[in-house]
Amino acid sequence: MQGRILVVDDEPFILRSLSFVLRKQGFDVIEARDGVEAMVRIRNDRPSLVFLDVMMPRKNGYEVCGEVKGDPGLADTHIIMLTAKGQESDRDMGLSIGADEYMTKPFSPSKITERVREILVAGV
Amino acid sequence: MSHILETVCSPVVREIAGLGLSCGATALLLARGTRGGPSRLLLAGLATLALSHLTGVLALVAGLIDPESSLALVTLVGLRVFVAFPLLLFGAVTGMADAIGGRIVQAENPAVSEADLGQLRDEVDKKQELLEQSRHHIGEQAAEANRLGDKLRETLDLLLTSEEKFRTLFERANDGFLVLDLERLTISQANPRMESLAGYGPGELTGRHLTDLCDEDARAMEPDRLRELLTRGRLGSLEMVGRDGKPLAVEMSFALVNVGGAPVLMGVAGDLSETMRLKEELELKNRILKEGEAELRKANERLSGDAEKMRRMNDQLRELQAAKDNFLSSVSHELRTPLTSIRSFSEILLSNEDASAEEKREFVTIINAEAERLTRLVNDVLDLAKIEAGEMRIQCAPFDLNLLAREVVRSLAPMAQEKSIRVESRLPADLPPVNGDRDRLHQVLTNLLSNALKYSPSDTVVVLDADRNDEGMVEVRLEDQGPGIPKEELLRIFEKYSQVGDTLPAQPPEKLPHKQGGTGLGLAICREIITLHGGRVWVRSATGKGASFFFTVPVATEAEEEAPTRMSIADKVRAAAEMARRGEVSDLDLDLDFLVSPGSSTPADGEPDATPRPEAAMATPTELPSWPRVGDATPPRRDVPPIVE
Repeated sequence: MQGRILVVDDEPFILRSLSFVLRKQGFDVIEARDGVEAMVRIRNDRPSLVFLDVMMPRKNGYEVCGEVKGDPGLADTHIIMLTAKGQESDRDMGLSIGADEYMTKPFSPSKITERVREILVAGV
Repeated sequence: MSHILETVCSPVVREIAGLGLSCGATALLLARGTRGGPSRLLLAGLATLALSHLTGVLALVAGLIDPESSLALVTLVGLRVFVAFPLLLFGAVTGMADAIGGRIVQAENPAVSEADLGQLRDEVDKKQELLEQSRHHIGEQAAEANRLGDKLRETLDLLLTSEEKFRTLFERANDGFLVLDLERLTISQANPRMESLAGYGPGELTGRHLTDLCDEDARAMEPDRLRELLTRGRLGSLEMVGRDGKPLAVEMSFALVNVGGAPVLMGVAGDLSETMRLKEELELKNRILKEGEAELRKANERLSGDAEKMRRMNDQLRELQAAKDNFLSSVSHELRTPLTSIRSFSEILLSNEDASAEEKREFVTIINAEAERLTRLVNDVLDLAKIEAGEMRIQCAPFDLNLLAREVVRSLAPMAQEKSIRVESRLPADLPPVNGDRDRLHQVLTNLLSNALKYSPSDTVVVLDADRNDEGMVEVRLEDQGPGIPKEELLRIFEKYSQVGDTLPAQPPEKLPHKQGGTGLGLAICREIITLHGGRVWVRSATGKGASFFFTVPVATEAEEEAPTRMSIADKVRAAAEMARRGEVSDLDLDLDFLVSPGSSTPADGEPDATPRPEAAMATPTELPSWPRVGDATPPRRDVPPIVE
């Protein structure tokens, strides 16, 4: 199974764990450490799915999400927001700006891969 | 009488006389006038009227009189008078007008027309009006006469009874009276009120000299001068005193009076006690009022102050609430992040048995590091809870700050290396030992240094320095070349919940590298720890000019340093153990000589462990962990090796 996934987080360990799990599943995983870098990767590498952390330097996850969803050329990019804040208001905020999914840290890697399969394979 | 009328008078006059009689007249006086002779008539009328006034009988004036004359008549009479005016038509009397009753009596066969009668009536009206005014005037005069009469009668009565009345007045008056002999100024008479005012019994004042009732100033006065004062009416500023010598609440007035041709001085003592009481009462009330007003004003100020305070407190509460919300969100984030790594990698390890040994090792290392990070965070939160509950405690013992600093710098070396930051430790070698909680101060220094490293740009220098200040404290300084702290944030960075991220200029927390975020508790905890040591912590900074953090800790006193060498050895051992753990070669000079030299300092309790033992002298670093037994007198609080960073 193929598919390009961008993982964006400023926490190197979280980046490492997500990348490891997703690569194991055979995905083409690319990484970004902040929002600005994420936008560059999204435009250049056109991932089908983006795991997007919220609290990041330079440009936060909400801003990245809003930019992607506001660009018709990137309309087919799926976005899963990842947040460690875990408050209802954060979830609402994420979904209101067009995120497809909102996951709270800590997450289970197996759950993550399940969701990724559903989204990318079933085209949900 | 009616008979006289019958014979003498014309029918008209008879009619008029009849009217007069019916009004209660007891006699009739007739005056007959002739045309053109009013003066004569007037005189005649006056005589008649004067008589009627004196005898009280009714006067009847008849004849030709002009209005002016009749007015004069009426004015002079004023008593019960019947006044009639003859009605003249073409020179003949045709009737009389009763000026009081307002009736018109006409002659039996008046050769007059209706028009004549109209004219007549007008005339009568006019005359009546004049009469009315006159009557009023008469009434006033009579009243005035009556008043004069009353006065006269009273005067007369008074003349008859004045002596008696004066006696009564004198005896019973509410004011004190004195009668003085003008020559000798002795009291010839005093009324009972005067006696009681001055505190004397009946008759006791009589014969005394006036100065017995005066204060010293009056006594010292020349008699002539005193007499002069008295005859002028006042004693001036002289005060009257009573038998007991106390001032009397009276105001004394004097007057020269003639009694039976001889001048005497009469003194009247106006009782001022009531006035004074009222005055005092008024003053008291005024004072109370003023106090009340002041009280009220203060209360008002307090109230508005309270309101202001309440408003401020409210604002502060709101800010605190916001800060707490922010804090919760931030702590949630901080706790979840390492937890995420731990959970992810443990699950990866569980489900990826085929992972390489290298990968497995990496993952376990990550789990370990993140668990430590989590521990630190939890410790911070627990410290906060302790601070909030006022339960944070420190256990002090003397130790060498130099060693502590070296430990902290070493433990953060990787972080510094990552950003190529040079940490320069300039602590003087002869820094005196400090008395403090080593673990807690380790925490403070670690916190401050890691903050400095976090905020410093790459390739900069962080300087750590310390010296002894004038107050017997060691002052530690940590200076970085970071972005500095904006003025408005300087004051609150030591507050609980203030986000470390907030202190960065022009960067909302969202945009910060969140590893710098932390819980925002570090500095608050530092402040608490330093405060518990009796020291203080402060910061000096300006945007763009780096930040310098300072704190002070007390220098250990000699008593605390009872076994300074031992402590410093303990520190060295601790450091050596730490280095050994890291696999580094110890460059520490472990001066253990005191163990074999009998004269050196030993624990005061002289327990056996403190005596020189060859085997102890041969102690090697690997055996050192058991060493602190020697220091039981002032035991290091934790087991060695204690440092887990």
